[in-house]
Amino acid sequence: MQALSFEQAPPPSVPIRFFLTAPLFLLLAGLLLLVDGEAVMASRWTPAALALTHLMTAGFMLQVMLGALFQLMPVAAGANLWRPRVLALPVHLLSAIGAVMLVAAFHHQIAWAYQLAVVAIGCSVLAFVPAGMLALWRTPGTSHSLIALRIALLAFFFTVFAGATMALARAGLIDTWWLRFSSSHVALGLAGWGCVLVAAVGYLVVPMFQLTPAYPRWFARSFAPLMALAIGLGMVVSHPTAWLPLIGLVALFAGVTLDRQQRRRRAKLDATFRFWRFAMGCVLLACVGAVLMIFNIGGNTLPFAVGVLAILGGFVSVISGMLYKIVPFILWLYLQPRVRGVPPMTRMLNEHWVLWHWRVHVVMIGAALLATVWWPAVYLAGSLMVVSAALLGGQLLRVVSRARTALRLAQPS
Amino acid sequence: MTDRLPPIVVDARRLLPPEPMERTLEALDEMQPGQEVLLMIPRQPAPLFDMLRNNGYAYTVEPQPDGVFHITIRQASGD
Repeated sequence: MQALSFEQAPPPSVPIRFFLTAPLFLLLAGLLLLVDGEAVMASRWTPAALALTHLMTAGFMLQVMLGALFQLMPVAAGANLWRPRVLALPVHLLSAIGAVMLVAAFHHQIAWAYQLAVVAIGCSVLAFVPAGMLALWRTPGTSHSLIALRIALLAFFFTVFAGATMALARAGLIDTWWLRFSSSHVALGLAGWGCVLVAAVGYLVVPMFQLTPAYPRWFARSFAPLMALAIGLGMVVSHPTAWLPLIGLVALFAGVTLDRQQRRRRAKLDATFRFWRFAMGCVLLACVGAVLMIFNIGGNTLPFAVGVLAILGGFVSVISGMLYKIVPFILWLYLQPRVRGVPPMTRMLNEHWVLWHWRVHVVMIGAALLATVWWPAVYLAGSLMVVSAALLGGQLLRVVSRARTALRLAQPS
Repeated sequence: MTDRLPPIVVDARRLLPPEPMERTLEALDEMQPGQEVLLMIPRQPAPLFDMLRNNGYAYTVEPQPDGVFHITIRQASGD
Protein backbone atom coordinates (compact mmCIF):
# COMPACT_ATOMS: atom_id res chain seq x y z
CA MET A 1 0.00 0.00 0.00
CA GLN A 2 1.19 3.52 -0.68
CA ALA A 3 2.72 5.48 2.18
CA LEU A 4 1.07 8.66 3.39
CA SER A 5 2.93 11.63 4.79
CA PHE A 6 0.90 13.63 7.26
CA GLU A 7 3.82 15.94 8.01
CA GLN A 8 3.05 17.56 4.66
CA ALA A 9 -0.62 18.10 5.57
CA PRO A 10 -1.96 21.68 5.37
CA PRO A 11 -3.43 23.27 8.53
CA PRO A 12 -6.83 21.62 9.25
CA SER A 13 -8.63 24.93 8.62
CA VAL A 14 -7.76 24.58 4.91
CA PRO A 15 -9.82 21.46 4.04
CA ILE A 16 -12.37 21.92 6.82
CA ARG A 17 -13.61 25.30 5.59
CA PHE A 18 -14.72 23.50 2.38
CA PHE A 19 -16.16 20.50 4.26
CA LEU A 20 -18.28 22.69 6.56
CA THR A 21 -19.70 24.68 3.63
CA ALA A 22 -20.82 21.61 1.69
CA PRO A 23 -23.87 20.62 3.84
CA LEU A 24 -25.32 24.11 3.29
CA PHE A 25 -25.69 23.30 -0.41
CA LEU A 26 -27.42 20.03 0.43
CA LEU A 27 -29.76 22.00 2.71
CA LEU A 28 -30.53 24.44 -0.13
CA ALA A 29 -31.16 21.49 -2.49
CA GLY A 30 -33.69 20.04 -0.01
CA LEU A 31 -35.41 23.42 0.34
CA LEU A 32 -35.57 23.79 -3.45
CA LEU A 33 -37.30 20.40 -3.68
CA LEU A 34 -39.85 21.54 -1.09
CA VAL A 35 -40.50 24.88 -2.79
CA ASP A 36 -40.29 23.84 -6.43
CA GLY A 37 -40.67 20.06 -6.44
CA GLU A 38 -43.26 19.84 -9.19
CA ALA A 39 -41.13 21.92 -11.60
CA VAL A 40 -38.02 19.90 -10.75
CA MET A 41 -39.75 16.66 -11.65
CA ALA A 42 -41.39 17.99 -14.85
CA SER A 43 -38.21 17.53 -16.92
CA ARG A 44 -34.50 17.29 -16.22
CA TRP A 45 -34.00 20.40 -18.37
CA THR A 46 -36.36 22.71 -16.42
CA PRO A 47 -34.65 25.70 -14.75
CA ALA A 48 -35.52 24.23 -11.35
CA ALA A 49 -34.07 20.78 -12.22
CA LEU A 50 -30.83 22.33 -13.52
CA ALA A 51 -30.63 24.49 -10.39
CA LEU A 52 -31.09 21.40 -8.20
CA THR A 53 -28.46 19.37 -10.09
CA HIS A 54 -25.91 22.17 -9.75
CA LEU A 55 -26.63 22.68 -6.04
CA MET A 56 -25.48 19.11 -5.60
CA THR A 57 -22.61 19.04 -8.13
CA ALA A 58 -21.18 22.58 -8.31
CA GLY A 59 -22.20 23.16 -4.67
CA PHE A 60 -22.03 20.14 -2.37
CA MET A 61 -19.69 17.91 -4.38
CA LEU A 62 -17.31 20.63 -5.57
CA GLN A 63 -16.77 21.99 -2.05
CA VAL A 64 -15.86 18.58 -0.66
CA MET A 65 -13.73 17.66 -3.68
CA LEU A 66 -11.69 20.86 -3.47
CA GLY A 67 -11.20 20.43 0.27
CA ALA A 68 -10.17 16.81 -0.27
CA LEU A 69 -7.62 17.81 -2.92
CA PHE A 70 -6.03 20.41 -0.63
CA GLN A 71 -5.59 17.64 1.96
CA LEU A 72 -4.84 14.69 -0.28
CA MET A 73 -2.36 16.11 -2.79
CA PRO A 74 0.40 16.67 -0.21
CA VAL A 75 -0.52 13.75 2.07
CA ALA A 76 -1.06 11.02 -0.53
CA ALA A 77 1.05 12.17 -3.45
CA GLY A 78 3.69 14.39 -1.84
CA ALA A 79 2.48 17.23 -4.10
CA ASN A 80 2.77 20.40 -2.04
CA LEU A 81 0.53 23.25 -3.09
CA TRP A 82 1.92 26.76 -3.00
CA ARG A 83 0.84 28.42 0.29
CA PRO A 84 -2.31 26.33 0.82
CA ARG A 85 -3.72 28.66 3.49
CA VAL A 86 -3.43 31.71 1.21
CA LEU A 87 -4.74 29.80 -1.81
CA ALA A 88 -7.69 28.21 0.01
CA LEU A 89 -9.37 31.50 0.90
CA PRO A 90 -10.08 32.79 -2.65
CA VAL A 91 -10.69 29.28 -4.03
CA HIS A 92 -13.25 28.60 -1.31
CA LEU A 93 -15.06 31.94 -1.45
CA LEU A 94 -15.15 32.18 -5.24
CA SER A 95 -16.28 28.58 -5.76
CA ALA A 96 -19.05 28.92 -3.15
CA ILE A 97 -20.26 32.31 -4.43
CA GLY A 98 -20.01 31.08 -8.02
CA ALA A 99 -22.13 28.00 -7.25
CA VAL A 100 -24.84 30.16 -5.60
CA MET A 101 -24.82 32.52 -8.62
CA LEU A 102 -25.03 29.60 -11.05
CA VAL A 103 -28.01 28.13 -9.23
CA ALA A 104 -29.73 31.54 -9.13
CA ALA A 105 -29.01 31.95 -12.86
CA PHE A 106 -30.54 28.57 -13.71
CA HIS A 107 -33.54 29.04 -11.46
CA HIS A 108 -34.48 32.58 -12.49
CA GLN A 109 -32.82 32.62 -15.95
CA ILE A 110 -30.82 35.78 -15.17
CA ALA A 111 -28.13 36.60 -17.76
CA TRP A 112 -25.92 38.63 -15.40
CA ALA A 113 -25.99 35.86 -12.80
CA TYR A 114 -24.64 33.40 -15.42
CA GLN A 115 -21.84 35.87 -16.16
CA LEU A 116 -21.04 36.38 -12.48
CA ALA A 117 -21.04 32.62 -11.93
CA VAL A 118 -18.63 32.08 -14.83
CA VAL A 119 -16.31 34.82 -13.53
CA ALA A 120 -16.37 33.54 -9.92
CA ILE A 121 -15.99 29.82 -10.66
CA GLY A 122 -13.57 30.61 -13.50
CA CYS A 123 -11.32 32.66 -11.17
CA SER A 124 -11.50 29.91 -8.56
CA VAL A 125 -10.41 27.33 -11.15
CA LEU A 126 -7.69 29.62 -12.53
CA ALA A 127 -6.33 30.03 -9.00
CA PHE A 128 -6.50 26.35 -8.08
CA VAL A 129 -5.90 24.28 -11.20
CA PRO A 130 -2.51 25.78 -12.28
CA ALA A 131 -1.25 25.55 -8.67
CA GLY A 132 -2.49 21.95 -8.47
CA MET A 133 -1.04 21.02 -11.87
CA LEU A 134 2.32 22.53 -10.94
CA ALA A 135 2.40 20.60 -7.66
CA LEU A 136 1.29 17.30 -9.25
CA TRP A 137 3.60 17.49 -12.28
CA ARG A 138 6.64 18.55 -10.25
CA THR A 139 6.17 15.57 -7.96
CA PRO A 140 8.30 12.64 -9.08
CA GLY A 141 6.77 9.20 -8.92
CA THR A 142 4.18 7.11 -10.66
CA SER A 143 1.89 6.15 -7.77
CA HIS A 144 -1.62 5.20 -8.79
CA SER A 145 -3.14 8.02 -6.76
CA LEU A 146 -0.76 10.59 -8.28
CA ILE A 147 -1.73 9.59 -11.83
CA ALA A 148 -5.44 9.51 -10.95
CA LEU A 149 -5.19 12.95 -9.31
CA ARG A 150 -3.57 14.41 -12.45
CA ILE A 151 -6.32 13.02 -14.66
CA ALA A 152 -9.06 14.19 -12.25
CA LEU A 153 -7.66 17.72 -12.15
CA LEU A 154 -7.48 17.94 -15.96
CA ALA A 155 -11.06 16.66 -16.18
CA PHE A 156 -12.11 19.29 -13.61
CA PHE A 157 -10.64 22.05 -15.79
CA PHE A 158 -12.43 20.82 -18.92
CA THR A 159 -15.70 20.26 -16.99
CA VAL A 160 -15.70 23.90 -15.92
CA PHE A 161 -14.61 25.07 -19.38
CA ALA A 162 -17.50 23.19 -21.06
CA GLY A 163 -19.90 24.39 -18.34
CA ALA A 164 -18.75 28.00 -18.69
CA THR A 165 -19.32 28.02 -22.46
CA MET A 166 -22.82 26.61 -21.97
CA ALA A 167 -23.58 29.18 -19.24
CA LEU A 168 -22.42 32.01 -21.51
CA ALA A 169 -24.52 30.58 -24.36
CA ARG A 170 -27.54 30.55 -22.02
CA ALA A 171 -26.77 34.15 -21.09
CA GLY A 172 -26.89 35.03 -24.80
CA LEU A 173 -23.24 36.07 -24.98
CA ILE A 174 -22.02 33.32 -27.29
CA ASP A 175 -23.61 31.08 -29.88
CA THR A 176 -26.03 28.37 -28.75
CA TRP A 177 -23.86 25.91 -30.74
CA TRP A 178 -21.90 25.46 -27.50
CA LEU A 179 -24.93 23.91 -25.77
CA ARG A 180 -24.24 20.63 -27.61
CA PHE A 181 -21.47 19.87 -25.10
CA SER A 182 -23.86 18.89 -22.32
CA SER A 183 -23.07 15.13 -22.59
CA SER A 184 -19.33 15.85 -22.52
CA HIS A 185 -19.82 18.20 -19.55
CA VAL A 186 -21.67 15.47 -17.63
CA ALA A 187 -19.13 12.74 -18.55
CA LEU A 188 -16.14 14.94 -17.71
CA GLY A 189 -17.69 16.13 -14.45
CA LEU A 190 -19.21 12.96 -13.04
CA ALA A 191 -16.80 10.35 -14.46
CA GLY A 192 -13.51 12.16 -15.17
CA TRP A 193 -13.48 14.53 -12.23
CA GLY A 194 -15.85 12.86 -9.77
CA CYS A 195 -15.35 9.12 -10.17
CA VAL A 196 -11.59 9.30 -10.83
CA LEU A 197 -11.12 11.47 -7.74
CA VAL A 198 -13.22 9.04 -5.66
CA ALA A 199 -10.95 6.25 -6.97
CA ALA A 200 -7.76 8.21 -6.12
CA VAL A 201 -9.12 8.73 -2.61
CA GLY A 202 -10.54 5.21 -2.41
CA TYR A 203 -7.19 3.50 -3.15
CA LEU A 204 -5.97 4.99 0.12
CA VAL A 205 -8.93 5.34 2.43
CA VAL A 206 -10.98 2.21 1.69
CA PRO A 207 -8.23 -0.20 2.88
CA MET A 208 -7.28 2.18 5.71
CA PHE A 209 -10.68 3.03 7.18
CA GLN A 210 -12.65 -0.06 6.20
CA LEU A 211 -9.89 -2.65 6.83
CA THR A 212 -10.16 -4.18 3.37
CA PRO A 213 -7.36 -5.59 1.20
CA ALA A 214 -5.76 -3.01 -1.13
CA TYR A 215 -7.27 -2.47 -4.60
CA PRO A 216 -5.70 -4.92 -7.08
CA ARG A 217 -2.57 -3.48 -8.73
CA TRP A 218 -3.82 -4.13 -12.27
CA PHE A 219 -6.97 -2.17 -11.48
CA ALA A 220 -5.40 0.78 -9.65
CA ARG A 221 -2.73 1.13 -12.36
CA SER A 222 -5.07 1.18 -15.33
CA PHE A 223 -8.42 2.54 -14.10
CA ALA A 224 -7.80 6.32 -14.33
CA PRO A 225 -5.97 6.24 -17.72
CA LEU A 226 -8.69 3.99 -19.18
CA MET A 227 -11.37 6.35 -17.86
CA ALA A 228 -9.61 9.23 -19.67
CA LEU A 229 -9.55 7.22 -22.91
CA ALA A 230 -13.21 6.19 -22.55
CA ILE A 231 -14.30 9.81 -22.00
CA GLY A 232 -12.28 10.84 -25.05
CA LEU A 233 -13.97 8.11 -27.10
CA GLY A 234 -17.45 9.20 -26.04
CA MET A 235 -16.68 12.83 -26.86
CA VAL A 236 -15.13 12.12 -30.27
CA VAL A 237 -17.52 9.47 -31.61
CA SER A 238 -20.94 11.02 -32.06
CA HIS A 239 -22.96 7.91 -31.28
CA PRO A 240 -24.49 7.17 -27.87
CA THR A 241 -23.01 3.64 -27.80
CA ALA A 242 -19.52 5.21 -27.66
CA TRP A 243 -20.25 5.91 -23.95
CA LEU A 244 -20.62 2.18 -23.18
CA PRO A 245 -16.90 1.59 -22.31
CA LEU A 246 -17.06 4.49 -19.84
CA ILE A 247 -20.18 3.10 -18.18
CA GLY A 248 -18.50 -0.33 -18.03
CA LEU A 249 -15.44 1.11 -16.30
CA VAL A 250 -17.53 2.97 -13.70
CA ALA A 251 -19.43 -0.27 -13.00
CA LEU A 252 -16.09 -2.09 -12.70
CA PHE A 253 -14.92 0.42 -10.06
CA ALA A 254 -18.12 -0.15 -8.08
CA GLY A 255 -17.77 -3.93 -8.44
CA VAL A 256 -14.10 -3.98 -7.35
CA THR A 257 -14.91 -1.75 -4.35
CA LEU A 258 -17.78 -4.03 -3.29
CA ASP A 259 -15.46 -7.02 -3.65
CA ARG A 260 -12.86 -5.30 -1.42
CA GLN A 261 -15.58 -4.60 1.14
CA GLN A 262 -16.69 -8.26 1.11
CA ARG A 263 -13.12 -9.24 2.04
CA ARG A 264 -12.85 -6.87 5.01
CA ARG A 265 -11.02 -8.05 8.11
CA ARG A 266 -13.56 -6.68 10.57
CA ALA A 267 -17.09 -7.93 11.11
CA LYS A 268 -18.54 -4.75 12.67
CA LEU A 269 -20.16 -2.39 10.16
CA ASP A 270 -19.82 1.33 10.79
CA ALA A 271 -21.61 4.18 9.05
CA THR A 272 -18.78 4.85 6.56
CA PHE A 273 -18.81 1.23 5.44
CA ARG A 274 -22.58 1.31 5.06
CA PHE A 275 -22.53 4.61 3.10
CA TRP A 276 -19.85 3.26 0.72
CA ARG A 277 -21.52 -0.10 0.16
CA PHE A 278 -24.87 1.60 -0.49
CA ALA A 279 -23.14 4.05 -2.86
CA MET A 280 -21.55 1.27 -4.90
CA GLY A 281 -24.91 -0.53 -5.19
CA CYS A 282 -26.51 2.71 -6.43
CA VAL A 283 -23.67 3.23 -8.94
CA LEU A 284 -24.17 -0.27 -10.36
CA LEU A 285 -27.91 0.39 -10.77
CA ALA A 286 -27.15 3.80 -12.35
CA CYS A 287 -24.86 2.06 -14.86
CA VAL A 288 -27.61 -0.41 -15.79
CA GLY A 289 -30.01 2.53 -16.20
CA ALA A 290 -27.50 4.45 -18.32
CA VAL A 291 -27.10 1.47 -20.68
CA LEU A 292 -30.90 1.20 -21.04
CA MET A 293 -31.02 4.95 -21.80
CA ILE A 294 -28.48 4.53 -24.58
CA PHE A 295 -30.77 1.97 -26.22
CA ASN A 296 -33.83 4.19 -25.69
CA ILE A 297 -35.42 1.86 -23.16
CA GLY A 298 -37.16 3.20 -20.06
CA GLY A 299 -38.87 6.37 -21.31
CA ASN A 300 -38.58 9.84 -19.83
CA THR A 301 -38.39 8.84 -16.19
CA LEU A 302 -35.22 6.76 -16.51
CA PRO A 303 -32.76 9.69 -16.93
CA PHE A 304 -34.11 11.12 -13.66
CA ALA A 305 -33.67 7.82 -11.86
CA VAL A 306 -30.11 7.48 -13.22
CA GLY A 307 -29.34 11.01 -12.01
CA VAL A 308 -30.74 10.26 -8.54
CA LEU A 309 -28.77 7.00 -8.33
CA ALA A 310 -25.49 8.49 -9.59
CA ILE A 311 -25.44 11.86 -7.84
CA LEU A 312 -27.44 11.31 -4.66
CA GLY A 313 -26.96 7.57 -4.33
CA GLY A 314 -23.34 7.46 -5.52
CA PHE A 315 -21.53 10.71 -4.83
CA VAL A 316 -23.50 12.12 -1.89
CA SER A 317 -23.33 8.73 -0.12
CA VAL A 318 -19.58 8.29 -0.67
CA ILE A 319 -18.87 11.86 0.40
CA SER A 320 -21.04 11.64 3.53
CA GLY A 321 -19.39 8.38 4.58
CA MET A 322 -15.92 9.77 3.99
CA LEU A 323 -16.52 13.07 5.79
CA TYR A 324 -17.43 11.13 8.93
CA LYS A 325 -13.94 9.60 8.88
CA ILE A 326 -11.64 12.27 7.55
CA VAL A 327 -12.89 15.32 9.47
CA PRO A 328 -12.42 13.70 12.93
CA PHE A 329 -9.17 12.06 11.74
CA ILE A 330 -7.63 15.29 10.43
CA LEU A 331 -8.48 17.11 13.67
CA TRP A 332 -7.40 14.19 15.87
CA LEU A 333 -4.00 14.11 14.13
CA TYR A 334 -3.65 17.87 14.55
CA LEU A 335 -4.48 17.68 18.27
CA GLN A 336 -2.33 14.64 19.05
CA PRO A 337 1.07 16.38 19.42
CA ARG A 338 -0.47 19.56 20.87
CA VAL A 339 -2.90 18.34 23.52
CA ARG A 340 -2.42 15.83 26.34
CA GLY A 341 -5.36 13.45 26.64
CA VAL A 342 -6.88 14.03 23.20
CA PRO A 343 -10.50 12.80 23.18
CA PRO A 344 -10.80 9.43 21.36
CA MET A 345 -11.74 10.00 17.73
CA THR A 346 -14.86 7.87 18.04
CA ARG A 347 -16.19 10.18 20.75
CA MET A 348 -15.76 13.30 18.64
CA LEU A 349 -18.81 12.12 16.65
CA ASN A 350 -22.10 10.85 18.00
CA GLU A 351 -22.25 7.42 16.30
CA HIS A 352 -25.95 7.13 17.10
CA TRP A 353 -26.81 10.22 15.06
CA VAL A 354 -24.44 9.23 12.27
CA LEU A 355 -26.30 5.94 11.93
CA TRP A 356 -29.59 7.81 11.89
CA HIS A 357 -28.22 9.98 9.09
CA TRP A 358 -27.50 6.85 7.06
CA ARG A 359 -31.07 5.58 7.57
CA VAL A 360 -32.59 8.95 6.62
CA HIS A 361 -30.27 9.13 3.59
CA VAL A 362 -31.37 5.70 2.31
CA VAL A 363 -35.08 6.52 2.70
CA MET A 364 -34.47 9.92 1.05
CA ILE A 365 -33.03 8.23 -2.04
CA GLY A 366 -35.93 5.77 -2.08
CA ALA A 367 -38.34 8.75 -1.97
CA ALA A 368 -36.42 10.54 -4.75
CA LEU A 369 -36.64 7.41 -6.94
CA LEU A 370 -40.36 7.12 -6.19
CA ALA A 371 -40.75 10.77 -7.19
CA THR A 372 -39.50 9.94 -10.69
CA VAL A 373 -42.73 7.98 -11.26
CA TRP A 374 -45.02 9.71 -8.75
CA TRP A 375 -43.94 13.33 -8.39
CA PRO A 376 -45.64 14.23 -5.03
CA ALA A 377 -43.03 11.97 -3.33
CA VAL A 378 -40.59 14.79 -4.09
CA TYR A 379 -41.79 16.58 -0.95
CA LEU A 380 -40.84 13.62 1.20
CA ALA A 381 -37.44 13.48 -0.54
CA GLY A 382 -36.97 17.24 0.02
CA SER A 383 -37.87 17.02 3.72
CA LEU A 384 -35.50 14.10 4.25
CA MET A 385 -32.73 15.92 2.37
CA VAL A 386 -33.09 18.86 4.75
CA VAL A 387 -32.87 16.47 7.71
CA SER A 388 -29.86 14.72 6.12
CA ALA A 389 -28.02 18.00 5.59
CA ALA A 390 -28.78 19.09 9.17
CA LEU A 391 -27.52 15.78 10.60
CA LEU A 392 -24.33 15.87 8.52
CA GLY A 393 -23.61 19.54 9.20
CA GLY A 394 -24.48 19.15 12.89
CA GLN A 395 -22.06 16.25 13.37
CA LEU A 396 -19.23 18.01 11.51
CA LEU A 397 -19.74 21.12 13.65
CA ARG A 398 -19.72 18.94 16.76
CA VAL A 399 -16.31 17.48 15.80
CA VAL A 400 -14.84 20.93 15.12
CA SER A 401 -16.27 22.31 18.35
CA ARG A 402 -14.80 19.40 20.40
CA ALA A 403 -11.40 19.90 18.78
CA ARG A 404 -11.50 23.63 19.52
CA THR A 405 -12.45 22.98 23.14
CA ALA A 406 -9.61 20.46 23.58
CA LEU A 407 -7.13 22.93 22.08
CA ARG A 408 -8.38 25.80 24.25
CA LEU A 409 -8.18 23.75 27.45
CA ALA A 410 -4.61 22.71 26.57
CA GLN A 411 -3.35 26.26 26.13
CA PRO A 412 -1.93 27.94 29.23
CA SER A 413 -4.20 30.77 30.42
CA MET B 1 23.64 -9.57 32.67
CA THR B 2 19.88 -8.98 32.98
CA ASP B 3 17.18 -10.62 30.90
CA ARG B 4 15.53 -8.30 28.41
CA LEU B 5 11.86 -7.63 29.08
CA PRO B 6 9.56 -9.13 26.44
CA PRO B 7 8.16 -6.55 24.02
CA ILE B 8 4.74 -5.03 24.64
CA VAL B 9 2.64 -6.34 21.75
CA VAL B 10 0.00 -4.11 20.15
CA ASP B 11 -2.14 -6.22 17.80
CA ALA B 12 -3.79 -3.62 15.56
CA ARG B 13 -4.68 -5.95 12.70
CA ARG B 14 -8.40 -5.42 13.19
CA LEU B 15 -8.41 -1.87 14.58
CA LEU B 16 -9.57 1.22 12.72
CA PRO B 17 -7.50 4.43 12.65
CA PRO B 18 -6.58 6.10 14.90
CA GLU B 19 -6.98 3.29 17.49
CA PRO B 20 -3.66 1.63 16.52
CA MET B 21 -1.89 4.93 17.22
CA GLU B 22 -3.80 5.47 20.48
CA ARG B 23 -2.88 1.95 21.72
CA THR B 24 0.74 2.33 20.58
CA LEU B 25 1.10 5.64 22.44
CA GLU B 26 -0.32 3.99 25.58
CA ALA B 27 2.20 1.15 25.18
CA LEU B 28 5.07 3.63 24.76
CA ASP B 29 4.02 5.27 28.05
CA GLU B 30 4.22 1.86 29.78
CA MET B 31 7.51 0.82 28.12
CA GLN B 32 10.42 0.19 30.53
CA PRO B 33 14.03 1.22 29.72
CA GLY B 34 15.44 -1.21 27.16
CA GLN B 35 12.03 -2.64 26.37
CA GLU B 36 10.42 -2.55 22.90
CA VAL B 37 6.90 -2.21 21.55
CA LEU B 38 5.87 -4.56 18.73
CA LEU B 39 3.01 -3.17 16.63
CA MET B 40 1.26 -5.52 14.18
CA ILE B 41 -0.71 -3.54 11.58
CA PRO B 42 -1.92 -4.18 8.02
CA ARG B 43 -0.46 -0.91 6.60
CA GLN B 44 2.49 1.41 7.13
CA PRO B 45 1.15 3.96 9.67
CA ALA B 46 2.61 7.21 8.34
CA PRO B 47 1.19 9.51 11.06
CA LEU B 48 2.70 7.25 13.74
CA PHE B 49 6.10 7.29 11.99
CA ASP B 50 6.01 11.11 11.93
CA MET B 51 5.18 11.17 15.64
CA LEU B 52 7.89 8.62 16.55
CA ARG B 53 10.61 10.53 14.66
CA ASN B 54 9.61 13.77 16.35
CA ASN B 55 9.64 12.24 19.85
CA GLY B 56 12.98 10.44 19.96
CA TYR B 57 11.94 6.89 19.09
CA ALA B 58 13.59 4.56 16.58
CA TYR B 59 11.66 1.92 14.68
CA THR B 60 12.12 -0.89 12.20
CA VAL B 61 9.52 -2.14 9.75
CA GLU B 62 9.32 -5.80 8.76
CA PRO B 63 6.73 -6.72 6.10
CA GLN B 64 5.22 -10.16 6.69
CA PRO B 65 4.10 -12.60 3.96
CA ASP B 66 0.42 -12.11 4.93
CA GLY B 67 0.57 -8.35 4.19
CA VAL B 68 0.87 -7.33 7.84
CA PHE B 69 3.74 -5.07 8.97
CA HIS B 70 5.62 -5.75 12.21
CA ILE B 71 6.89 -2.44 13.56
CA THR B 72 9.37 -2.62 16.43
CA ILE B 73 9.74 0.61 18.41
CA ARG B 74 12.41 1.51 20.99
CA GLN B 75 13.94 4.62 22.53
CA ALA B 76 16.39 6.10 19.97
CA SER B 77 18.97 6.79 22.71
CA GLY B 78 19.11 3.08 23.52
CA ASP B 79 20.55 2.24 20.08
